[in-house]
Amino acid sequence: MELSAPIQVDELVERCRQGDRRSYGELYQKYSRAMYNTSLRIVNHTGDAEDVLQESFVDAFAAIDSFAYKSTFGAWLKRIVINKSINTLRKKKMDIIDIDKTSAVHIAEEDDYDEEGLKLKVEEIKKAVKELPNGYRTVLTLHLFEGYDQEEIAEILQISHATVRTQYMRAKQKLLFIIKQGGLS
Amino acid sequence: MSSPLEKFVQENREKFDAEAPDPGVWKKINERLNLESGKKTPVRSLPFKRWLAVAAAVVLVGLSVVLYHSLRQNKTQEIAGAKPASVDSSNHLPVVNIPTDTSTRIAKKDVVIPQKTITGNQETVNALKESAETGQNKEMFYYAKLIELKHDELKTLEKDEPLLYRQFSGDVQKLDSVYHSLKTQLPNNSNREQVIEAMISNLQLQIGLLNKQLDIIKKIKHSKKSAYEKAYKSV
Repeated sequence: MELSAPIQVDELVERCRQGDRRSYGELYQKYSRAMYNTSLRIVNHTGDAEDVLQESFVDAFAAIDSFAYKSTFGAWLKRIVINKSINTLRKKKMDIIDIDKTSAVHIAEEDDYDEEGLKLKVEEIKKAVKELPNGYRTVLTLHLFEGYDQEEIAEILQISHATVRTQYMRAKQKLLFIIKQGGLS
Repeated sequence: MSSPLEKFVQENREKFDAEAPDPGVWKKINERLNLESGKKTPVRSLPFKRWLAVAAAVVLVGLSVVLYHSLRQNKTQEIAGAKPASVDSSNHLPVVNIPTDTSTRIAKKDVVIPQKTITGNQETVNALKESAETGQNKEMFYYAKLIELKHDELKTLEKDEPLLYRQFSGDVQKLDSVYHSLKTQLPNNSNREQVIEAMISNLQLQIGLLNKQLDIIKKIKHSKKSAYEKAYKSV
């Protein structure tokens, strides 16, 4: 979305900096849906995701002078949204790293699910993501949907690369497991 | 690592962003923007470039004040320097021009007496001046020390903002060169007090300038830091 018209977005950002209120609204229209879905996948709660959305836009608009075009505006905003979403999870004392030993051993032995044999559907994947525990869901969504690489995820979550890798592998296995079960039932 | 799952998500990425937030969210954001803009406009933090402009304006005003002062100082010195010379010549001229007149002898005597009182006055004035000068010396020493401290503080900026530092220290150096030219004038200037006063006011200006520069730096650092922290750290 932001790739299609980066110049247009830059113009909007400039106009926001000059205090043009309509441009704030336009930026919100442009990004709110993507940012809301990003947050929703992490916090897994519509009310929380809406709070995150509100706080993120307010903070981003307040700090728009410090946005230095080092990334796209969308990437900058998304990072704010993700940080706030993770903080929301942490505030609720939800573990960011899942120590799910039984399933870990279990999955490790079973190795790969036959992804080829699974018929993947958008709605099923969305449903399965919601059923993942917080830590798995966060790591999985950051890579699978938001496209961050391992190093970036390690930095965002303040955990080691190795942990990111194993968490992601397990999360993916579990997701596929849930999809398969759902398909059977 | 592009497995079928990852491939599928990439190909259908848009479809995963199907949920729409409640329209009330924008209302709340808009309300808060209204509140903040009402609060913020008078204290709106300026971007870096505008800070530079403010710094330049401060320096310009400072320099023009110094220039004005030093020009005025020079004028009064010229007047003050010219006056005693004219008094001297008027004292000597009648004595030289009419030598053999008794009336002039009396006049000469009459003239000698006031001269003595003048020199006597001069001595007391000189003594007063010297005591005043030691006080002023102390004052100058204090200011010089203060300037040194502030300059050290400014120097910590060199790493973060080399351009701004160069500009700032250049401005202070301009003032300092005026100070040094005043200092060289001091030994052979008849009007020591005014020169010293000019020197002190120059030092005070230097301190004022340094204070303003440090203030600007502090504000830049603060606005940078708070904006960054707000965007990345806070909840």
